[in-house]
Amino acid sequence: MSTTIDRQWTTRLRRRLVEQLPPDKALPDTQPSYVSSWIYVFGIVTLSALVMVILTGFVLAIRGPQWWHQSAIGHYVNSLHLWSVEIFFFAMVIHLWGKFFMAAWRGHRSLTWVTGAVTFATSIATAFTGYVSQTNFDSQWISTQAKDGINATGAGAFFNVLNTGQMLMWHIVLLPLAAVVLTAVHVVMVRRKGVVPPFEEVTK
Amino acid sequence: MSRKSFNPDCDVREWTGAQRPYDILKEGAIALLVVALLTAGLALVFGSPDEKQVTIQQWSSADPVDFAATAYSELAGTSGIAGYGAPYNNASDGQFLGVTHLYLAKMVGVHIPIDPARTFVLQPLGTLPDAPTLRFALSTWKNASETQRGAWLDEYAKASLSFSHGHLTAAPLSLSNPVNELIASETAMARSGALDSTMGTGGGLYTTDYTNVLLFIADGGWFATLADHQHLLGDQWGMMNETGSYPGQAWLWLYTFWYQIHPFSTSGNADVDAWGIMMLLTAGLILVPYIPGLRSIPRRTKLYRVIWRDHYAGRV
Amino acid sequence: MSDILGALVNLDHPGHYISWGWFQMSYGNFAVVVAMVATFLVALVAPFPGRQKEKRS
Repeated sequence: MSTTIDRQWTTRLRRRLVEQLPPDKALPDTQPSYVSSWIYVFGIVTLSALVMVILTGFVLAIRGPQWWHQSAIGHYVNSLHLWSVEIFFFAMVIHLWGKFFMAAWRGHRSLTWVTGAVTFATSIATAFTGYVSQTNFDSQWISTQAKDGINATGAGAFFNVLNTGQMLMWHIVLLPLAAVVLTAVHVVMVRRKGVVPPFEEVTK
Repeated sequence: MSRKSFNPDCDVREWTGAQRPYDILKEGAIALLVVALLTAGLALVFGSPDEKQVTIQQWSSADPVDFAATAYSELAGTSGIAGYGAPYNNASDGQFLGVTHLYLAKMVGVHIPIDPARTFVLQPLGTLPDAPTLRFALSTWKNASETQRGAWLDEYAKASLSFSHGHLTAAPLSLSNPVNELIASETAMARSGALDSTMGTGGGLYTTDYTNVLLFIADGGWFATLADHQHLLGDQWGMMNETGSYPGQAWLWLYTFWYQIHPFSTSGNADVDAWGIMMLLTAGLILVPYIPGLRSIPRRTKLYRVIWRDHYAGRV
Repeated sequence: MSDILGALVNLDHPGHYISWGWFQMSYGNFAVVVAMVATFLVALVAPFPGRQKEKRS
């Protein structure tokens, strides 16, 4: 009887999840004592900025891509979107510097670093598609300039930066989805493995 | 793990020492609040740029000579797009990557076919109703041989593309030459605003694809002059700049850097080379944990001692 | 409402640029980069609040 239950997909998935990420690791109430520096806050600041980017993007989506040109409130929401992106990159770069100088990939944490770096690259692509979806002079100029680089790689044949509709779709569906999924995987990995311990040195 | 195979840049003994209380949700909530307030404040204080879009209509009114010269170059097949190559046409091999002589765009092929004379001039003019003179000019052009067209273009270039006081001087052309009628009609159509909508891809009421309009505007000199005023040109580190005085995509600094230095600043393959280098460097960043030497930098620079100073001092 | 939402500091004027040989950067970007490096350094050296408590206890 119990073997039937044991073999169920659902049972096996649940057990695996609990084994990989037990609740006290997913939502910890303690941290190792060496976690004692402001440099540790930039991960959560990046995550918070991502939440703001998405929320302000949702508001822009409600009224559509032309709204912010025509309404003062729309323009303010666009400003919120822009500045949350600035904070997002600002915090992400400091997070990256911090994790680099801690060699945070040690102890089977390399994939955590890899997913983080891929998220960074994905975010740059996401921001870029946003710039070319603005439907103003900025997007006209950026798209006509960027086409040469992307065309030269061969990718321009399918990723046409002058196709506003295509770029908007990438900006509000495909790339944010990728960025959010990558971020989620990254955060789960951090929680699973915990914060990397310091380099061992002879303590004074 | 034996002591011998222990690599301090990859391995670590997991922490079994002291723990301190930590409320992850509270930290998240505070961070979100701070970021929300900061965002609202920055948006309120600085706002965001929205430099209005430019149209073919504006271009043809603001700089009719540049407009006519561009339309002429599309018809004559001497424009930037006319000689571009893939993904628009087969006019050139395009750029090749570094020393590989791999013409990547050419290898992928033409996927957004553009025949400049047809796309930017003949097709839009063909949509104008009730224009018998233009109809006649179009059919004359269409039925002429390449040699004949070349002769007409040369004649027009010599006679008409001499400018006085910023206007095209209309010198008399041979009676059969349709070029003047084509360029004049294109200009009239541009000034009316009709060219902007006709050139949208799809040919109907709805479009979300402005490839043709943007390529045509970018083939002219007027557009680049506007960008120059905004400090957005490639050799001005323009990629990371923004209209007005706003910060731009500062994170593109390394990509735009390559365009400023030799040999890329003078290379015909700068785009593909800069992309190649950036792909390589991005792969490097992603793979830092696996690259000997690079992954030792943190241990060697010892900046970690500042981060974990409390730990090393035995204060925690 | 629209008056309140307008930017207090108007950045819609031609930018200023730092030029140093082939190096160029807008004041806007320069401010962001300087702030980023400064924030990083402050984060490294600023005393972390939890620590004092731990020390005293």
